[in-house]
Amino acid sequence: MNNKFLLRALLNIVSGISLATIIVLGIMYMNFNNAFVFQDIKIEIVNNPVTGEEIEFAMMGSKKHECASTRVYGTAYSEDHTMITLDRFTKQYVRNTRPGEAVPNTWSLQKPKDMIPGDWRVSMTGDFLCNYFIFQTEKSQTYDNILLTVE
Amino acid sequence: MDDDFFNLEKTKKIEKQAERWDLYAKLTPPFFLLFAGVLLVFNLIKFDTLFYVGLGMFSITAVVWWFWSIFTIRFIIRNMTLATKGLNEVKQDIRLITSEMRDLRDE
Repeated sequence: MNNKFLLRALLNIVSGISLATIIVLGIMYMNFNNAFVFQDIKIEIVNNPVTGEEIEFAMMGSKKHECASTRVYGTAYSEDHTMITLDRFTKQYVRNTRPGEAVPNTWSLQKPKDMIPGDWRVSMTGDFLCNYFIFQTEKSQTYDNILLTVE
Repeated sequence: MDDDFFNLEKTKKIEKQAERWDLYAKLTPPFFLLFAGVLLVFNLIKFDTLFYVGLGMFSITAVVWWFWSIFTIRFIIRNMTLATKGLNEVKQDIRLITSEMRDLRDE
C-alpha cells in the first residue's frame, strides 16, 4: 500500500516536471523561432552617389541570438525593373558579431559592369544559422529599399 | 430505485474513462520527452518537426478531452436531476405516510 502510494506520487512528480519542461521548451522555441536575427537595424550605402567600382555599405544593429551568416547578398532593382545580384565582396563584413550589443559593421560590394547610371533600390539579404539553448534553426532577413545612386 | 434509474453501468464506464485519462496524462509527457530526447540526440528528427508533432498531439488531446468533458458533465447533470427527482418523490411519500400515520393515531 505504502509502495503503491510512493510510486503514484513519484509518477505524478515525474509527469508534472515533464509537462512543465515540454511547455517551457515549446515557449522558448516559439520565441527563438519567431525572433528576427537583427533588431534595431539600419543599413545604408555610405559612398552615394557611387562613382567608382565599389559600393560601400554600413550597418548598425544588434542580434538577439547567436547567429552565423551562411550567405549574404544584395539585389539591386532599377527604375525600369532590371534586377542585378550583388554578391562579389571586395571588403568583407565582420562575421559572428556578439549578440546583445549594437555592433557597427561595414562591407563593400563590387559594382557590376552592367549597372547603368541612375537610381537603384537595393535589398540586402542575409541567410543565417542560429543557435539558442538546445535549438538550431536557419533564418533569413532582408533589409529593403536602400537607395543607391550610380553616376 | 434500480440500477437503470441512475445508469450505474454508464457511471462505471465514465469512472474507467476518467482513470484512463489520468493514466494518459501521467504517462504521455515523460514518454514524449524521453522519445523526443532520443530522436534529437541521434539526429533522427529536426526540432521544428518535433515541435509540430507535439503541438498536433496536444491539439488532438485538447479537442478529444473537451468533448469528453462536455458529454460527461451532461451525463452527470442528467443523473443528478434524476436523483433529485427521485429524492423529492421519496420525500413526498414520507410526508404522505407521516400524515396517514398521524390520522390513524388520532382516530
